[in-house]
Amino acid sequence: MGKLVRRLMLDDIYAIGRNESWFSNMAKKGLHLKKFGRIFIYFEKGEPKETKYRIDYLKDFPSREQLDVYQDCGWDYITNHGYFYVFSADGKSCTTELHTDPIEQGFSLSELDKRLRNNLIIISFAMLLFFGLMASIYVFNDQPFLFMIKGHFVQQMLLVIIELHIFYTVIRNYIVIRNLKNSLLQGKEINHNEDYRQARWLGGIFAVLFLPLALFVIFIPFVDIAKSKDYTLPEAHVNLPIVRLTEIEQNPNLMRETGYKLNGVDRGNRVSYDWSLLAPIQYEIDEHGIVNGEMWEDQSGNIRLA
Amino acid sequence: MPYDISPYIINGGDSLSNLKSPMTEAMYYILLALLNPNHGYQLMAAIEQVSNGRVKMGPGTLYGVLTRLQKDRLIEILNDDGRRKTYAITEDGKASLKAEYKRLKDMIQDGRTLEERL
Repeated sequence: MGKLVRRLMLDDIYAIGRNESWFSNMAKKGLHLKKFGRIFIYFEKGEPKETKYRIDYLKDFPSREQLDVYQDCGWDYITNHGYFYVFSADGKSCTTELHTDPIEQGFSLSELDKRLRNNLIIISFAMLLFFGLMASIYVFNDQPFLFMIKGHFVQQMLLVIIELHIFYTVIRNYIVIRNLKNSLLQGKEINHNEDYRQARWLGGIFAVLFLPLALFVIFIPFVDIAKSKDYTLPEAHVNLPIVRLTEIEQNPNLMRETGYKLNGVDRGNRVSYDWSLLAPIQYEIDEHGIVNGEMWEDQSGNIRLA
Repeated sequence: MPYDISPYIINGGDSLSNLKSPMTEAMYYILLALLNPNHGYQLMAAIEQVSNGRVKMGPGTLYGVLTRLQKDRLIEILNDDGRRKTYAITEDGKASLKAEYKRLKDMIQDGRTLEERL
């Protein structure tokens, strides 16, 4: 077996004609399609050869008999990506085409067309729900702008962009298959030599843009977790621009009231640091104290200040 | 050769099971060839023979049509020994084929004047 060479899968599997044309071109360079991975397509290095590739949509894995008949006609099964099965034949021999009747081929795509349409409907509802949730965070907030700056606004917007991209992909694939089905039903054959370069370029640009974006979105919460820390507020002076309880109360009898402790941090007297992309330094102070012998104006309890 | 497919699209093109006439050439010849039960392997040769070498059917088309006809119960599997399946036409299939044959014959009849005029 020759050396396996990887190429990024930058085009949609639904672009049947473009992929067939690309595989043929690779074979001309001595790279023969071997298998599909999740991100990569694997080619086996060998002699440059004129090879025809055909991608067929099949609901079930073809039977032994079916593969034998295909092979008898010169078509070898190479690999499959879901329901898309790739067959190849020697480019120089005059093999009978895999599909000789575009209308029948159009019928075979009807089921896929229906499936993609149902997919699109379900995803549309999910998107509606997703955007509704996103919007509700800000619409039902008293201080939406403060919340945007303090919270995960940037991340949420990036997530919206990614979701929109996924939505666009689902719509695009549905339209591609529907148009292909309709043109087959009108008797037009698939263009096996369709230009694939532009689509692969575009796919490459999208990948370059979206991969770091997706990684960034995943990365942000980790920074958030790393930067969020709680400390017990020291009784002595701290180097933070805050007004301390002693400065408000100005009473020598004021004593600290220790609160509930969690992980060694006094929850009643603490500094909590937080982080967001738009507001990288955030801190919040809790401080509790008691003045012995004094009461609230309504005569209840010792003085408690927070 | 592009030809009009509007008769194929019944109920917006989704319900293909009612589709009996007009038939695609592939469907017509497969039904015709399956008047004698046969397996996929020899069907292609049988079709080429029955059409006097005019129809050379691709294997993808052959199995695409077989799958669809089976789903529409126009053909059935007589025998499946695991290695090869033997297909045969059903009564529904015969009725469809007869109707299509009549339609084609009528078309020829209707076009008879052509021979006198050309």
